[in-house]
Amino acid sequence: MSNHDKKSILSKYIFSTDHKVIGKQFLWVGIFFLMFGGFQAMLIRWSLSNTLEPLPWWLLGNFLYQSSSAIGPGIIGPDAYNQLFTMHGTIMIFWAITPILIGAFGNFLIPLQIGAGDMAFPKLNMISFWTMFLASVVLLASYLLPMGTAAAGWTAYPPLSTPVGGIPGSGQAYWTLALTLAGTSTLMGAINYITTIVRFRAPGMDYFKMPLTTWGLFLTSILNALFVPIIAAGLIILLLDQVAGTQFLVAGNKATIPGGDPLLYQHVFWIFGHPEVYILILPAWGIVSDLLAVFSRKPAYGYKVTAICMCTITALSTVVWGHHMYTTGMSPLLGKAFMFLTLIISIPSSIFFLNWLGTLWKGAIRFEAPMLFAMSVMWVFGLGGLTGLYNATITSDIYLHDTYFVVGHFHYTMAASVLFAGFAAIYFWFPKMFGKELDKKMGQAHFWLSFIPLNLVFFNMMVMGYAGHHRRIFDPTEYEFLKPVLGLNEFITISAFVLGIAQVIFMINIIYSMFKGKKAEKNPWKAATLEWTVSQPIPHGNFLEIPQVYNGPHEYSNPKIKDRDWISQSEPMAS
Amino acid sequence: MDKITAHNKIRQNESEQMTSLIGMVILLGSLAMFFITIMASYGILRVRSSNWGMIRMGNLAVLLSWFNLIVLMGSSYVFSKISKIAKETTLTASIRWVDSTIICGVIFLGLQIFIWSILSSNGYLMTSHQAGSIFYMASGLHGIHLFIGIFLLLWFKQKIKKQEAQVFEIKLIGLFWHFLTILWLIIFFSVIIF
Repeated sequence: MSNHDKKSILSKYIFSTDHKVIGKQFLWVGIFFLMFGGFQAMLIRWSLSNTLEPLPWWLLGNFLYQSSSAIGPGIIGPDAYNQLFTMHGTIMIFWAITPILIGAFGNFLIPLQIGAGDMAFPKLNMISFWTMFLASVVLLASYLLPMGTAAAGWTAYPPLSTPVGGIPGSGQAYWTLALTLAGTSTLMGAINYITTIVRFRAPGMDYFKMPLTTWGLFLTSILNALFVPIIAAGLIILLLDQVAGTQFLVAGNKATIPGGDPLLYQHVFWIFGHPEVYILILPAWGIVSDLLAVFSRKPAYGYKVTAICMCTITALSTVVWGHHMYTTGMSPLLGKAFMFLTLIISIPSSIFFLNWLGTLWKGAIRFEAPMLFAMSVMWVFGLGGLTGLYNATITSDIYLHDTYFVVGHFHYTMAASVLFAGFAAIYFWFPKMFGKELDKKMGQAHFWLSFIPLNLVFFNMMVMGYAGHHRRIFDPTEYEFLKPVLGLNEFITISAFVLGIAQVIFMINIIYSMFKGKKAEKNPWKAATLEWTVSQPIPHGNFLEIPQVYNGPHEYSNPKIKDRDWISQSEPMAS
Repeated sequence: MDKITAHNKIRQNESEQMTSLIGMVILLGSLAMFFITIMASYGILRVRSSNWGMIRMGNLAVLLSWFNLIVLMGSSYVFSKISKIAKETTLTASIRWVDSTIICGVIFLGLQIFIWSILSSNGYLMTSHQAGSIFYMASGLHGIHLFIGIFLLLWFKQKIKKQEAQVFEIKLIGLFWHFLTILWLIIFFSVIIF
C-alpha cells in the first residue's frame, strides 16, 4: 500500500492495481459482452421464427451476413445459426455473467465488505483483468476468420469440436484458446479472493459476521480454484486435438489413432461444468440474501443457516455432474446415484429459500429497483429450481434431454436468476461505485419490461420443449409435430425483442446517470455493511483506518437502536 | 527505531509471509487439480486400450529419462541447500546454490528436448498412438511449468543481487519447485516406465 499516491493516468485507470478500478474494468467488459451476447440472442430468435428471411434493418440486416459465403444478403444460414447459439452461450456465461458478478462485484466488494485496504495480491489482480482482456481479444478475433467462429455449442463436445469430421475452420481452436485464457484469469481472481478473505478480514469480522455476498463470492472462489483447472486440462487436451493432430477425444471409423474417447471430454467438462453453475449462482444468492434484508429492514432470517446451506450446496455441487449425461449410456446404477445426489441439493436449497421468505415476512419492504430485481430472483430461481427436478430425474430427463425444456430451465436458473441478481447489484452498488444515483423511474421501467417478457420467453420455451422442440434445430417449420406450437414460437420471439429493447433503457440509465445523475449520498440505502461507511469518492486504500467490527451484517430494526432503524457493522451497539 | 515498532514490523512481515504462503498453497492446489485431470485422462485411455504396454520407447530414451529423473531430484536436493545456507549465513552466500538449481533445471529441459528428438526420429510421435500423445502432452506441460520455475529462480537471483530478496521467498519458490519434482516422479513412473 506504500505507493497509493503515485499515479499517472495510465496507472490510475488502465494498469491500476486498485481493486475498485479493476472491478469497474470488469464491469465494463461484462456489460459490453452482455449487450453483444444479448444481440446474438435476438438474431437467434429472428432466425427461429423467420427462418431464412433477411434480417430487418433494426437487427442490422444491412450490415450483417453480407459476405459471399452467406446464403443471401442479411440471411442467417444454418452454419451461421450454429455459430450464433454457440457464441451466445459462451459469451453470456464466461464473458458477461462471470466478469459482472465475480470480476466486477467480487473485486469491488470483497475488500470493502470485510474492511480491507485492497486485495491480498493487487498486481495479480491487475494481471487477472488483462488476461481476461486478452481472452476477449482472441474470442472477438475469431469473428474475423473466413470460416467463422466456433459452432459446436457452448459445451464444444468432440468429435464435433475437433477437425476429425467436426466444425471446419479454426474458429473452434480460437474458442478453446480464449476459454483457457479466461479460465486462467478466473483462477488468478480466485487465489486473490480466497487469500484476501482468509487473511484480510478486519478485527472482529468473524466468518459468521461477513455479509452473505462475501460468503457467496468466497465459496465461488473455492469452487473456481478447484474446478477451473479441471476444465483447463480438458481444454488443453481438446486444443491438442484441434491443432496438434492428436486424437484423444475422437473415436469411430474416422479416427486414425485408435483408442480415443469422446466421453472423456464430457466427463471432464461436466466435472467442471456443474460446479460452474454454482460458481455463477452462489454470488447471486449472496447478493439477493443481503438485499432482501436491507430492503425489508430486517436481519436476514437464519443468517447462519443460509451460510451453512450455501456451503453444503457448494460441497454437493461437486458430485452431481453425471446428471448432464444420463443419455450417454452410463450404467443405470451410476445414473441413479447421480440422480439421488442431485435431488439432495433441493434440501439445502429449500431451506435457504425459506429463509428468504422469512426475511421478507412482516418486513417493512421498500420496492426500490434493486429490491424488485432481488425479489424477482426468488421467483425465477424458484421456478428454475423446481423445473430442475424434472431434469434431475432420469425417467423424465430421457424425454426432456436436449429439448427447449432444458433451455428454458437453465435460462431461468443461470440467465434470469444470475442476470437479475447482477442487475440488482448494479442498481444497489452503483451509487458507491460511481458516486451517482441511477434514475429511479428508468430503473422501475427496466425491471417491469425485463421481468414480464423474460417469463414469457423462458416459460414458453419449457412448453415448447415439452412439445418436443429440439434444442438446436435450425428450422422449426420442417417438423410436422412442431406445427401446433409455431404460433408460440413466434410469440416467444416477440417477447424476446421486448426484453432486448428493455435493456436499452438500462444502458441509457447507466450512461445518463454517470454524467448527469444526482450526486449520491454516502449511504443512500441505509445499509449496515462496511462498504457504506467509507467516504465518497472512496480513497485508494479504502478505510482511513481499519475498522473494528462489532455487529453482524444485517442489524436492522434492532430495538436497542434508538434514533434510526439500522446500525453499521463498525458501530458499537449501546447496551 | 524503538523496540515496539521493530516488533510490529517483524509481525507485519510475518503476516505478509503467511498471506503469500496461502496464495501459493491455493495455486499448488489448483495445479494439482490440473495435473490430476491430465493423469486421470491418461488412466482412462490406458485402461480402455488393449495394446498400450506393447508400445516401447526404446532403451536409449528410457535410459536418458532415468538420468533426467536423477537430475531433477538432484535439483530439489540442491534447492534445499539454498534455504539452509541462507538461514545459516547470508542470502548472497546461497547464490551459487541458486545457480546450481537453475543449471539442473536447464539440463533437465535440454535433455528432455533431446529425448523428444530421439523419439520423434524413431517414429514415436505425438500423432502415432495415444501413448505418444499422452507422453508428449504430460512431459510438455511439466516442462512449461519447470520453465516458469527457472524463470522464478532467475528473478530471485536478481533480487539477491539487489539485496531485496527475503529468505522466506525461497520457501515459496521451493514449494513450487518440489511440487514439480514430485509431479515428475509420478509422470515418470506411470507414463514412461509403467
